Order: sequence, then structure tokens, then C-alpha cells
Amino acid sequence: MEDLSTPITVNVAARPDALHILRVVAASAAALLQLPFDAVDEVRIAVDEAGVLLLASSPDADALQLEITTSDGSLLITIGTDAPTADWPRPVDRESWSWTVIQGLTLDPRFVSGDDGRPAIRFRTRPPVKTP
Amino acid sequence: MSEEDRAANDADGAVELFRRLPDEIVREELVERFLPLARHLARRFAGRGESVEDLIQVADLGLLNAIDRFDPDRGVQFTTFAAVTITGELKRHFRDRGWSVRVPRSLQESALLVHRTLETLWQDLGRSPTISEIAEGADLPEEAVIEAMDAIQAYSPASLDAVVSEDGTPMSETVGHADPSFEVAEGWASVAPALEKLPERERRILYLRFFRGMTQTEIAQEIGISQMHISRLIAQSLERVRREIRGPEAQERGASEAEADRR
Repeated sequence: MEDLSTPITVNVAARPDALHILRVVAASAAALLQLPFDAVDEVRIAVDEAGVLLLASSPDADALQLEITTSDGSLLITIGTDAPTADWPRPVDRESWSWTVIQGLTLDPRFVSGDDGRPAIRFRTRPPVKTP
Repeated sequence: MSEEDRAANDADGAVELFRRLPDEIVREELVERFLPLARHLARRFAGRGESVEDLIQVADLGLLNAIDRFDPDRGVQFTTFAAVTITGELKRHFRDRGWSVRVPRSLQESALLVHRTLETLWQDLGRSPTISEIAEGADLPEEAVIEAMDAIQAYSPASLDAVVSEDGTPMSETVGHADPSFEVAEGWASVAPALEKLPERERRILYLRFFRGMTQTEIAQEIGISQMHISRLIAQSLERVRREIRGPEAQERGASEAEADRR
């Protein structure tokens, strides 16, 4: 399977112990794209870090939302919360260890504000390495 | 077909009976003769969440289908044909219920299998295998491979205070020592003291991954250890840095989490 014709969306409780669900969903989507093990491994880590960052900066959130679409053989992953935040990202978010890790593992990572100023993080996975 | 072949293909003596079909009595004789085969196959699928009675019914139905569809002129022994048909029927039965037909395994078993398969494939292919390749190699469904990844890695930054504290280490302390490449990114510079505490090899792995942009496979080749090991060391190192930067109180909590993990 090369493409997700319909985006994947998952809502979970905004709690650290729900992050593993997002990890597994993202890893499954990466597996559909036939990404190699190491890339799938890193998608999981990046999703986890994004979740950690959002939970820390959005204490009023009830839900975390994960959305996954595909473009050019890579995944476009957006993770956000349902709690509007005026101040996003704060300097402390940009300086966080999680953000540093996300920047290292993904392409084009950015802080985005969704509807009503809901905070989100969006990034792309590395495209699969062409094998000879 | 030679006479010899003909005889070999009729080792179970079914052909003669088939030539006398569609006689009901002959059909019953065939059922009776091959029922033990169906029962035997049904029992091989026992213990996977379906009652043996149900499985036997499915297998019996498979046998009837096999009898109806068998062509004695195809040169295949009926026993072989029936076994394939009945097994197919049993597998379909499980599939229809959305269950995997594979032997159920515990998470630990799967994790071990995935680990071994990954190592082997990585060696054989010279690159990181895909999840479907691992699934095929380990004879596990893909979702089990992904679950096993979670189990193997156990990477879970459970802490919510993962941010660098504002009264954290001043930049001045980090400039001018250690590997200069670590200073290229501000984010990394601010955690340099934590990075300092990592073993040399782990620091090098993070450097190669995050600053040189090498893949895990390339790093594994460069350092001379397996990709699975690299994957674990990256996850562990990121976790260690995280623990380092979140203050003594959180570290205590981290220690008790680790304690809880061991239990």
C-alpha cells in the first residue's frame, strides 16, 4: 500500500499513558508505507516526544488528536490538543528537549495553531531510502 | 500418465470410489474413510479460541467440499487434495472471524522473535528491513511486530517536565569543550552537560544520528554493532538526557519509575 486515501485520525485522552496508542498507530501507518524498521522506530519516538511536549504545554487539554496523511511516500503527521492556547509555542517549548529530538528525527517540523488556536505539532517522516 | 504414476497417485485407493460417484453410498464410504483425516486436521487448529466441536464441523464440511470437487483424472492423490481443501476451510473459518491463523504467542516471545529476525534480515539485506519483511520472517502479523517494537524499546518519556528548566545550565558552560559539533544547535548545546554524562559510544551514536544525519543502519555499520542495539542505545540515551535535565526531584521519581519497571 502506497497511499492512505483517507487520513487517519485518532483521539485519545490527554494523558501520558495514552501516548502508546498514538505510537502504535503512527508505527502502523509507517509500516503501510513500507518504511524501514529504523524509520518506523524514529516515527514512534517523534510522536511520543510531540505528545509529551503538548501535554506539558497544554495542561487543560482533555484530548490529544493524531492525524496522519501521506505525501510523496512520506507521512505527514499532526498531533494537537483540544485546548486553545494563546501563547503557542512558548520559548520554553522551542527550547525543550522534546523539540530538539523532533527536529533531529523528522523533516520540516513546525509548531502550528489549528482551529480556535489549538496547539499542534506537525512534521513529515523521512522518505524511504532507495535501496539499490 | 504411466501406470506407475497412476498407482502412486492412488495410494489411498480413492480413485476407484470416485469413478463410481455420484452414488450416495459410495459418497458415504468416502466420507467415512477420510473422516479421521478431517478430525486430525481440525485438532491441529485447537487451542486458538474456537471449540474443537466447531472446528470438526468446519473440517467435515471441508471434506465434503473436497469430495465434490475432486477430479480423479488430475493425477493428484485424494488425501493430498482433501488435506489442502480442509486446511483452507479451517483457515478461512478463523479469518472470517478476524483472527490470525498463526500460533498465538506471548508478547515476550514475539519480541524475542522480532529481535532475532531483525538481526538476521539486517545482516542479510545490509539495510533496515521493512515491518512486512520482519513480519514475514518471524511469521507474525505486522501488528504483532509493531507491538513487539514497543515492548523491545519500552521508550516512554513518561515525564511531563521534559522541558529545559529556565534556570538551566547557562550556555557559557557548554561552549568550548566536548565535541564542537554538539554546539551547532542551541537545543543541543543547552543539554551538553547531560550529554557529557553519556558514555563515549552513546554520545557518538547521537552525534552520528542527529548531526551527521546517518541512518541507524549506517551507524550500526560504522560502530560495528547491530541495528537493534543502535535503536536501543538511541532510545536509552535520549531518555537519559531527559532524566539528567529535569532536576533532582524528577530524577528521584525517575528512579522509582525504573524501580517499578523492574517489578
